[in-house]
Amino acid sequence: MPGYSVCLPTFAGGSAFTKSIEWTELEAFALKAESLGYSAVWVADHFVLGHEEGEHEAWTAISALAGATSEIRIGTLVLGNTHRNPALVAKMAATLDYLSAGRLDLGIGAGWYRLEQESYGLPWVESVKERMDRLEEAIELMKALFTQEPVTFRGRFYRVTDAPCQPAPIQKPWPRIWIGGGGEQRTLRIVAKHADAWNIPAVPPEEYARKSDVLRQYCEAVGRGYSEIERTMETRVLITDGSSQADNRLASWLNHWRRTAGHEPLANEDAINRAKSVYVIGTVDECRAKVEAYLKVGVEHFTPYFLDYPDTTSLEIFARDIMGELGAVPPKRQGTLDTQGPQ
Amino acid sequence: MAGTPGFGFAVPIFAGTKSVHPRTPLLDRLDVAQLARSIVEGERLGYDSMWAADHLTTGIDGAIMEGWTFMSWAAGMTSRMRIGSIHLAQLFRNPALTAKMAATLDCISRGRLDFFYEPGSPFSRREVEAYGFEWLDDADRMAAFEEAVQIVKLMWTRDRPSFEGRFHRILQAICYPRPVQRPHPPVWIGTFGLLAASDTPEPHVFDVIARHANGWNSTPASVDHCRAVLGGLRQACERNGRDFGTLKLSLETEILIAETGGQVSRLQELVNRRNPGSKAFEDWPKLGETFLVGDAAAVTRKIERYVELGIDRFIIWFMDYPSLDGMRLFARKVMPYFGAALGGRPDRGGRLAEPGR
Repeated sequence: MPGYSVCLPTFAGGSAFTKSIEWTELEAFALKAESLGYSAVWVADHFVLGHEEGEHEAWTAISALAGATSEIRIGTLVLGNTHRNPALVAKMAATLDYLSAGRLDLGIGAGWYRLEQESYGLPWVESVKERMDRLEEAIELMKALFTQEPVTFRGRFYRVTDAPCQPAPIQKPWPRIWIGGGGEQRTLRIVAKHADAWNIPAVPPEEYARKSDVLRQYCEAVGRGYSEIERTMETRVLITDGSSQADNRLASWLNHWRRTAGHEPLANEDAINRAKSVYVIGTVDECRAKVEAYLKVGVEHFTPYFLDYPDTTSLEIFARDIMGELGAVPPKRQGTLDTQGPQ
Repeated sequence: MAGTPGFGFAVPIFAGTKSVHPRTPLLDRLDVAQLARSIVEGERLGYDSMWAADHLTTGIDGAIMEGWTFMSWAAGMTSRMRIGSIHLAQLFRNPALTAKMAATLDCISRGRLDFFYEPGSPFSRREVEAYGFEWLDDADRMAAFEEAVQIVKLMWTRDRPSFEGRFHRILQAICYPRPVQRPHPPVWIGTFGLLAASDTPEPHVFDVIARHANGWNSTPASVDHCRAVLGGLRQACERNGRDFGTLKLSLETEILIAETGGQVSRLQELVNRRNPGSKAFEDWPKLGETFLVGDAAAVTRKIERYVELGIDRFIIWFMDYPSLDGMRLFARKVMPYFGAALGGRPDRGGRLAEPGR
């Protein structure tokens, strides 16, 4: 039985129907998702994805969401490891898990967006290998801070000395760690070693199956149970009635991102077909069939953006006619609650 | 500067009994529910702001909430009260990212952020190095801090700004959405009240304040110390072409307040019992010069003396926390004297006087 959560479009262009990232709307969408039974809300960690139309800073956003919600889990998808000191990230995560009564999903990745890092004066690490090495070392450091007391750690890149990290997270041994990416040389190996959940941007079902096999092999190699790692996928959802208005919005949204990535825009019809082939877009029956195709190749949890945001039509229909039909598990929480914690 | 002072409270996000920390002398352990209660009630009582510390290893067992996470969480559960850091450590976070975080919090909170930024004091060295941040000597730390303040303000107010400093840089950095407050959230920079008035407390920080801050703050300090610092600030403003009258003045302080003198004494005894051997609570009369101890009348009189100096914002640690009695009593009997009562004047952000350069 799969899980379903929601990516909040906290950057202009996350939705196909609006560029607005007005906070009360974002919060209302999160609360709506909570009431519909979605298991988590996610925020991406970038600074300029929305260009001049804006983007909210991820950690501030999910912390505020934690204060405004009570049941739904909250997570980052995913923090850029090079944006912050990972020891500080561990402290931030421990605090947020503590404040939210154990609702944090800590998604982290190596960081890839050179332009924003350089413009912010963050040292850009050109070597992919080093970014991966840093990611892995950061995760090891964070896990130490979550579980030992105090910690002295001497790595190649990061160090702490007699560092406490209290109050400790509620979830034991740590907040669920999500690692994002599909790189087969290194990312999937790190996933095999360290992740509680693996996330990848939308790929066709066959591709997902193939990458899952690679992950399975890495799990065997590092001695980790393949079934311990929740297999998840990010995507976009738009449940349409096939009207031309929705199609035009879709086409211009897809072309916006194509242009941003330096590609030529596609003609409307091609853009629409492209979007429909990559994402979960179509009538409710078409969308259900696509979801089923992913379930068949082992996707256990979907983390979509709903492209008609701030409208909640797709969000509601998806919950009622797809989640309801195909079943949905309650949100996964890590370990047993620490009953010595607050209260 | 003149007019109704604002009263905010510091939220106890670390425990300090057993002589661990004088700011929270009766708090044994953290309690999220009580923190949430104090925030919600504080807003209801008419406190105009809440403030959260930014440290990594403070308190019993080194247990302290991460400051920015806590402020953002509080933004999600409040709607009128301003939210400030006391004080946000420049060394912990890239300045451009700090500006972005602040812009986001200001948007989320609909313009309630008070941005109180700090270079780090010698007391911070241990936690800075424990977490693997690089410590800088006094001069470098202040220089890095001044660069960071400039970067933050550029990010908030200019289109794709660039800045090349010795310690920090940005290159056509984008920070959208802008903060809600215009021209930007108030920037507070502080001095330390622990130094004797006769010391020359950090003349350079006075210049940084004169050049960049909307407001000045001191950690708990006597009236005399404040007077001396204000003198130094006036001179710094003159040096830097800044109209001293545009600088807001605030004081962090601790208050032990109860209905009667007898109750105050019992609380003092309790503090001493729970903090044996603590230097901070050895000499209550002396402590009364920098903290405010007494019944409502006594506390009111003391606050009046600071208000006479021009201080118009108080950030209060209530020493009896986790009890909310002191906080409630202060709101009921002291705040109205200054015209700041229930439902009164929580909206103190918005229009700023510019540093005038």
